[in-house]
Amino acid sequence: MNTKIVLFFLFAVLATTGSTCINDGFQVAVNFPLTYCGNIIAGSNPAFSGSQTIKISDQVGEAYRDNIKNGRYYDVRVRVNGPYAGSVSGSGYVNGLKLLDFSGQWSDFLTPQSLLGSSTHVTPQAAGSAELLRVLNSLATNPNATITLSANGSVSQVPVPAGLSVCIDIYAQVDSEVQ
Amino acid sequence: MKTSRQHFFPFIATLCVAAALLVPSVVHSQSVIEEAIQAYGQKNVEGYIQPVADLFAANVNSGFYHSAAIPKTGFHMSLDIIGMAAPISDDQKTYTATTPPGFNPVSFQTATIFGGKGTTVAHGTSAGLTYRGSDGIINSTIFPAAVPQLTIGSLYGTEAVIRFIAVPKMDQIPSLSLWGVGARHSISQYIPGAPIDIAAGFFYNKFKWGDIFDFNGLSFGAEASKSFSILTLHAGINFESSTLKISYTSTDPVAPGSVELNLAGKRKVSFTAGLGLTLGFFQLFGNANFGSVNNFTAGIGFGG
Repeated sequence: MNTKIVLFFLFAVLATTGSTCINDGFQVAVNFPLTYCGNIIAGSNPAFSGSQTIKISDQVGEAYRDNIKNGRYYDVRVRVNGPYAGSVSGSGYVNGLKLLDFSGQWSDFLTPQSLLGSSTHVTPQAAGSAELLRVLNSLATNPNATITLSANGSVSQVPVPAGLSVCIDIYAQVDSEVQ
Repeated sequence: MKTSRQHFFPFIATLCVAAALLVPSVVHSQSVIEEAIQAYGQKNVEGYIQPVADLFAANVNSGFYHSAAIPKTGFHMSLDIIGMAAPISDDQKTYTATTPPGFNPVSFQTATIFGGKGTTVAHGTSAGLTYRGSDGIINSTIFPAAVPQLTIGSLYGTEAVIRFIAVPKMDQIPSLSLWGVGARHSISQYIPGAPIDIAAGFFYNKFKWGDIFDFNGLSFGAEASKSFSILTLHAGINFESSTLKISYTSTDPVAPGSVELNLAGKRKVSFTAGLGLTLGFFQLFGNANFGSVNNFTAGIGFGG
């Protein structure tokens, strides 16, 4: 058999069996946290408030920061740090819009209280939820989008000891298109 | 068959260069696969990637022979280029993934690495909470592989089978190596006047791809064949055991940290039927392998 014909056949077979068809623009769902932690100032004032502005893409794994297409969130948790015997109540905000209310014994929040499940200590609010979704989805057109997380509230007993903080963890997810 | 050595080695050199040039396209694909897998925690990556373990194992654990005829003595050597293809069934395109702890529902159907778009699932009672599985990566009806295979014999009706591919690291593309070794022994040499050729063999394959994939496969079985002029019919039964080890660091904040999985290949037993054509210096052959995962092999061999 002609040598050139044999080699052409072999190249064709190898090209076919050695190639892999990758879906163009497939999207990887990437989980990442957005966290705000605010210290409660020790002393006679039981009230607390604070905020933090975060560049969202900085929280996404470096390999996935380019070509973000969609965003969503699947949980929000409220937790506290430090020993305290009283109770705590307050609200968490996204860009100034209320995301949730929280209330309960300080000790309840030593275990993160989640929107998932049946916790009676956190109550979601629609305005902040809609804003959170809006800003996560804005990453598709504005890769430098930021989010301001804030919380305010009060504790029940004074004097407030040192070392207390309230944290809000948003468990978010974006779809990163891999080229 | 007397080997035509003055034509043999230039052919072999050309085929090896061709294989080496074409493998990087496969290796580049592995980089995007690495990125996709690292976004997964352990629970879901297993289901996402299990079809790869099943199909790759089926391919690599096949194609070792196309005849059971092994001479008692006398030197012979042949080089085969073997292509394998395992059809990707619909049930290998989706899997049942778990949602984060506390999410309702606790599981949902979404794409495997061979699937289409990932599924988005909404929380049953909490408005605004949704979760999504990643898209599939590979769009294909078959999962292919290809290996060169050298057969050398015979001594007391025994021949050795060797496979080897190595691609060094190139820039961002990790290194790849596949090697396999096995032996086949003629059983029919002990049965004077046997109407068919019978042999038994075992084979071990190891495949390593970057720092994530590490495959080990062991198979053993028996085969029979009958030649009619240039046509050889063969059949066999094969028992297989394989493990695809996946190691990576998960970036999932719900389940971060080191992940090490050992995915067992689904197929444990396969039945083979095939045929070969001997055309002077070279052979054409193909077979089908049936079991819980099916696959097909075809190839061309040079030598005797």
